[in-house]
Amino acid sequence: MADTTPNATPSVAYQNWAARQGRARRKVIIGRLLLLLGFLALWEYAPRNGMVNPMLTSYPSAVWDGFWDLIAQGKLGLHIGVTLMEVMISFAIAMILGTVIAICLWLSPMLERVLDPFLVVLNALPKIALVPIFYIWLGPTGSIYAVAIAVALFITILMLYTGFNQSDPNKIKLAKTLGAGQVQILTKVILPGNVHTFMATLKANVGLSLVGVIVGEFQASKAGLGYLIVYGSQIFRMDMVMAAIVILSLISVGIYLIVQKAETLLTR
Amino acid sequence: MMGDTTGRPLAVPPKIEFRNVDLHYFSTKGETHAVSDMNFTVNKGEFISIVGQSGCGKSTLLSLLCGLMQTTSGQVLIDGKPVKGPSPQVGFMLQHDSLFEWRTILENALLGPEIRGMDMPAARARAERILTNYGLGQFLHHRPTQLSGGMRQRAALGRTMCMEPDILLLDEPFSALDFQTRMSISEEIGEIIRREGKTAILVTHDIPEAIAMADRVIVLSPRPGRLKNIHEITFPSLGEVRPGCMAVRDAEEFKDYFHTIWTEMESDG
Repeated sequence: MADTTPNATPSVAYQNWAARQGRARRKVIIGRLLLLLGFLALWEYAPRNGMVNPMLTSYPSAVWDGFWDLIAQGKLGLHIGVTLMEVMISFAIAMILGTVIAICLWLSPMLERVLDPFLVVLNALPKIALVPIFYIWLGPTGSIYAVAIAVALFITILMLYTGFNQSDPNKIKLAKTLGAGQVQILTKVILPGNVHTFMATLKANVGLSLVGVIVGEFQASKAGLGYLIVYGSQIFRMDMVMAAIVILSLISVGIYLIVQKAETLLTR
Repeated sequence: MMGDTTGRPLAVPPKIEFRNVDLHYFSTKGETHAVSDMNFTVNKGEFISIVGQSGCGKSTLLSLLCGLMQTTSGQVLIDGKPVKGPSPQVGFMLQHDSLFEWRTILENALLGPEIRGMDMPAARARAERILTNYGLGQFLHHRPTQLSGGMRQRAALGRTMCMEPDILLLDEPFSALDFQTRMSISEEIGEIIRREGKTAILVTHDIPEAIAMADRVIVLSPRPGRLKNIHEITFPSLGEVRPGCMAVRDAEEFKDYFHTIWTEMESDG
């Protein structure tokens, strides 16, 4: 309610202040563009002039050609599609499974106390180390999902459970005075009060699922961006590798932006 | 000055009765004797304040009455029946308004009816009426963060009243407010409670507030909380009808009550 009321006619001091703010914003944007262009220029210039070996680094125009090459082969859509699908499915499974487990732990403190040390160890364990085991147990496709889920699952459980436990005790007490039982406290207080925790977990998991999928694809796959990176490096096509990495970073930014949009819609 | 602790004739049980109540807390650090041999009654429509030093078990008495806790021995009775758990008959106002920021004011007021599975259209009409009476008619669809502290506390009262309780428990509901809001909102809420004929128990650190709002003030000893004294609060100098909480603060008797209760709280044992 107590908003600042903008003056009908801003004072000179305010106009100066606003102009300074605008200049500072423009400087930041120019700085970012310069950094990006400088990096691309150096990357283009150095390999072409024999300062570094172009076989090892490739360079932007070659990456651009490599990118069109992939499209011309008609396989780029397939690789992107495969990786995206693997990310989405494992991301969804890790979120749903993690949420269900976190809820169970919150509902049963006894279960939480028993499982706590195991969860801590599993969360600390570098899940990447399990890739060969997953491959032996589950085969090439199954192991990709298994790694991606394993990477995201435990952090989901721990983040959500911690959020649930930090819910306002006064709100819980209030709900109890109104006659709420455990399940109602969960649905009326804990879950709606933890939308921000849920969104933070989503954001963390998008990146983690992508890591899991790419590592899974490294081990064994016939398609996907991870496959493209490994394949490209094996036949020494650095342009292909770099193109795949650029696409990968665009995908992760894209998914992140979608999650952020979802967050603003949900926490309005 | 010792008040009436035995209540009314047996035919009509008192609204609230604490009968030989004893409470021990257990924790990994050990055992705490929180409340000892508590006996008092509250009549229908009466406003009682409970004062005492921190940790004397004042708030615990309210938790027992609301059924959030069980006595170690003795009984807490409402209308002659032992309290078994939270009931819509008992409304609780806490120190923090604890409004849910993800709900509008109206949705906050409907929390109790939702939990109790009441008839929602009726509850909605009731909530709208109550909140409008409390001056929140314009703000039914606002979020709590858009309201001032005093308005939030009125919304919290609306949420409590939406359950149509006949007993109100107030656990320092004004202590988080600034002084000016505190004075006006306590006057306002005291007025509402008296007008609607609710039975109320206020727990507070603030002795003037306790005197200004109550018909009787109960003084507790430090832990374990025991009943030290009960003061009947009347203002003969102000005439037959008791004026509002603000006006009584200027009464002759007010200073005397304050002094007596203050001295009692200072002396241990």
